[in-house]
Amino acid sequence: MAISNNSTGIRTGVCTSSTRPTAPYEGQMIYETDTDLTYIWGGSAWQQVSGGTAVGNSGLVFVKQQTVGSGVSSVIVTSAFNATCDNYLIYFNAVQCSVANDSFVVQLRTGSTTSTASYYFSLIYNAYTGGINQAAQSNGSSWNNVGRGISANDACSFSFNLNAPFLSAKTTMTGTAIGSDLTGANSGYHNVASSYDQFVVSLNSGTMTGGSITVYGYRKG
Amino acid sequence: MGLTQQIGASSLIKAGVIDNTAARPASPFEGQVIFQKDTDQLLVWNGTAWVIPNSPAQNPQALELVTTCTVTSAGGTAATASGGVVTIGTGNTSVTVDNAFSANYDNYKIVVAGGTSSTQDALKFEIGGSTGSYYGAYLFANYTTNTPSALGMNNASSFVYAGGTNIGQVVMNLEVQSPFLAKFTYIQALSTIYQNNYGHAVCDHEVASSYTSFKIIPNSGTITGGTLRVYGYRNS
Repeated sequence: MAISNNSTGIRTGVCTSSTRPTAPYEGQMIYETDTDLTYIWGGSAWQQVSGGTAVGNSGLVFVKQQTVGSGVSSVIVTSAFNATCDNYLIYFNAVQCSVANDSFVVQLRTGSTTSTASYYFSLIYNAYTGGINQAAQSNGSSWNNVGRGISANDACSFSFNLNAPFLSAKTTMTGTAIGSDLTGANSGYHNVASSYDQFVVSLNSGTMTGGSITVYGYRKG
Repeated sequence: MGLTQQIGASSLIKAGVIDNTAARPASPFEGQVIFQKDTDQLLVWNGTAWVIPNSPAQNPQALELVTTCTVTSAGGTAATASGGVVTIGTGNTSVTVDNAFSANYDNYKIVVAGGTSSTQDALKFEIGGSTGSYYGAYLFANYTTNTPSALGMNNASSFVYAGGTNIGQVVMNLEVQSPFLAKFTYIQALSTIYQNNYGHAVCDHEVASSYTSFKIIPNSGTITGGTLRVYGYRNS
């Protein structure tokens, strides 16, 4: 005997965690609407069906987006990093700085504590006048020039990558700085082997207004 | 009244076996289970979405192919576009991609791969037909001289170092930020290789306008074959 209906399915075992069947048969499957969990009766207990992996959403996935306020000196991006991804791509879009060519500064954070030491980086840049230049920092309080503002009345965009911020390992960073005064590529690391789930973005001297911050993660599996 | 008669294992209850995503039930009920054949997945409707039973919450896929792109080209035989894949023609001196940027995304990745070129030179990028206000730099080293160098763009007529036509191949890998927003557009070339120069180029286009199209132009010679794809980064 076959019971078949591909278009509507068969409604069996839809209940809540407090209205489970009182006399289940072995192999019976239920779905609880209050917990969104699926169980099978094993003969003596309800056994939760093993969770699947998110194979449909592998690779680069969206994590979160938040807007930047008006005239703010810093933005804390919470719940940015977790165990799902080791590596992250972070986009800033259309953020207006109050001071021309201001430097975007990034720090790692967990809980209510921001890490304020052990940042190392090197910026290789061109100042539109020809030639190549370098600016480096050893054991600084933040990564500077992860991005760079433009003229004071125009919005800027930039992106940077963070490797392993949530792992208890040293986090590495690559970024790109484009201002009216220079264009460069930045790379660095944080010499602390700790886990962070947040980051803080501020400016070297001024404030920022408008735009958005979007976090993407590279799924491990 | 419920259906209580037990059905043997050799019998079959075939509920909601579907071929693919397009065939999923249009009006599912919470708790409905289906099996999707093309992905071999058992899925349950949780009231708002089809999910793998008891799987952790899934973040949405970030990169999506932009399938609306259309194309025109200059020189040689015409480039073509189908389903979001642009195929460069034969002997093209430029390729213009329209309907690439929209309100659906703020950020984009553009990848050109394969193909051949008649010369080894830079591959230029113009946004929306704009021929001015490009600022930035190409930071590179030439492996024959082993010295770092930089070439600046100060109000250039295009993003000159967006890619390269090297060793007969066409290579471009761009990150484009905010082209559709009425703000400055920022562009990174992740790898610019030509004439033994290897490096990274970045640029901004200092016109606060919204654009839907772009053009790639070999600095000299022509390009033939290869594919171009535009991907959008989801905003949510």
